Amino acid sequence: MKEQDDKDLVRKCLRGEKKAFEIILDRYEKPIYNLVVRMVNDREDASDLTQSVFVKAYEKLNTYDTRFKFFSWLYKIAVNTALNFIGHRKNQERLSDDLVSEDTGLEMEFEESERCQKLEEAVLALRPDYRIVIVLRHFQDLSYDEMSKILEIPTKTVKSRLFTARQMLKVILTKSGLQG
Amino acid sequence: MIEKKYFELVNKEIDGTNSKTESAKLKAYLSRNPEGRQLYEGLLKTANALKCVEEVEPPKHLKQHILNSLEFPQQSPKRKWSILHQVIERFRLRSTPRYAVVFVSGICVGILLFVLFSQPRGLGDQETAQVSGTLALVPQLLYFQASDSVAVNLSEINGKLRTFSSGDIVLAELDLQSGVSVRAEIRFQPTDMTFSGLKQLSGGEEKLDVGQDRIILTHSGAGHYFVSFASHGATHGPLEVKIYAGNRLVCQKTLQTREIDSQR
Repeated sequence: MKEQDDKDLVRKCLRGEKKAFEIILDRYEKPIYNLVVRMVNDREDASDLTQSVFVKAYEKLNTYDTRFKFFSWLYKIAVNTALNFIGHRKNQERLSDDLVSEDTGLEMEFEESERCQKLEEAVLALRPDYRIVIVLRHFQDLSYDEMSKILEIPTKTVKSRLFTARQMLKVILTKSGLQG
Repeated sequence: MIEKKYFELVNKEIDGTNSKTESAKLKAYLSRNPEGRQLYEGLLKTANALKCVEEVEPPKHLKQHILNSLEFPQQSPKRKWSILHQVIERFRLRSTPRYAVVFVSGICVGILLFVLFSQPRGLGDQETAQVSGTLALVPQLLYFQASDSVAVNLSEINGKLRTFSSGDIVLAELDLQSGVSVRAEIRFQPTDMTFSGLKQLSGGEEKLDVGQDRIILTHSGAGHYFVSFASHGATHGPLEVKIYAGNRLVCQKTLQTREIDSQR
């Protein structure tokens, strides 16, 4: 039903209905922003990249093929945008302080906060092609098939990459003392 | 060492994608394999640990920034979409019909361009060769003046010989019907003109022998030909035409190659 709604919204957007694109934004701004933030590890960059994703999507809306799911198409743009950004970024990725502090807040127990920070650091320590499968599976809750469509790789490769990434993550967490 | 298939089952179990049979198979394996059990528990911990990473709220201004950076077309007053608009919209959104329309349009444009640019201004050489009789003569002879004409009425051969000229081109027309092999010999002054081509409008196989001052054309039965000569100057002498039925000379004619008016 939601997918059908998405397609209707796309049609309306193509007719120039601004309101329809606002609904798309309301629906996908947060997941796209989160995907990007987990990939690039910087809120400002993530904000710019999210904007770039939606601008690209709007400009290329007439190329969207309604046989496919809209969110897969949008995620594909987001993943490519994030990976391109990471590829071009020269400076080493470091976890920005506000990534955890702003949302976890002072109310959160320090230990829990530290634990989450270490987890995010562990995810960020993964190579981008491994990181993206962890983000899509564990943070976006996507299926193997959906990931396959977004990443444009066979489902078999998705599984293999995900299983390896998870194993690597386990090793990193064990080394950091977060996991016994 | 954990077998690859169990490594996959462990991961699929964590993702919740194992079937009941696969889950049971894994359970049985883990119950007898401590190393496998350790892997499963470790990966499960990792997966559960990831759940503690909370979603981040995008900046409040982001949505407005995105909307501001887009150019939306001016909305026209609401109107009812006609069926045609709906069809166009459907084509715009669905790639297959869109590509099909583009493909068919491409072919149509191609055909149109071909028709437009391949329209002959007059019949060319090839086209003329494929038609016969008066049709074939009209386009070319429009530009020529008749120079001479001789009827051939013999027991073996019937027909006509004609000459035409236009500028520096001289044409000799041989239209002969015969039941036997016919040989036509056309002699000309090489200082006046040079043989430049032969066009057969009708008839069977022909044989052409070209010399410096004559051409010999041999054919069987009926034959209609145009022989062209390139003139070297404004004046050119007549053509001597000899017709043979088999090896026997049956007719000898001299055909003027200048325009009839200028001969007078």
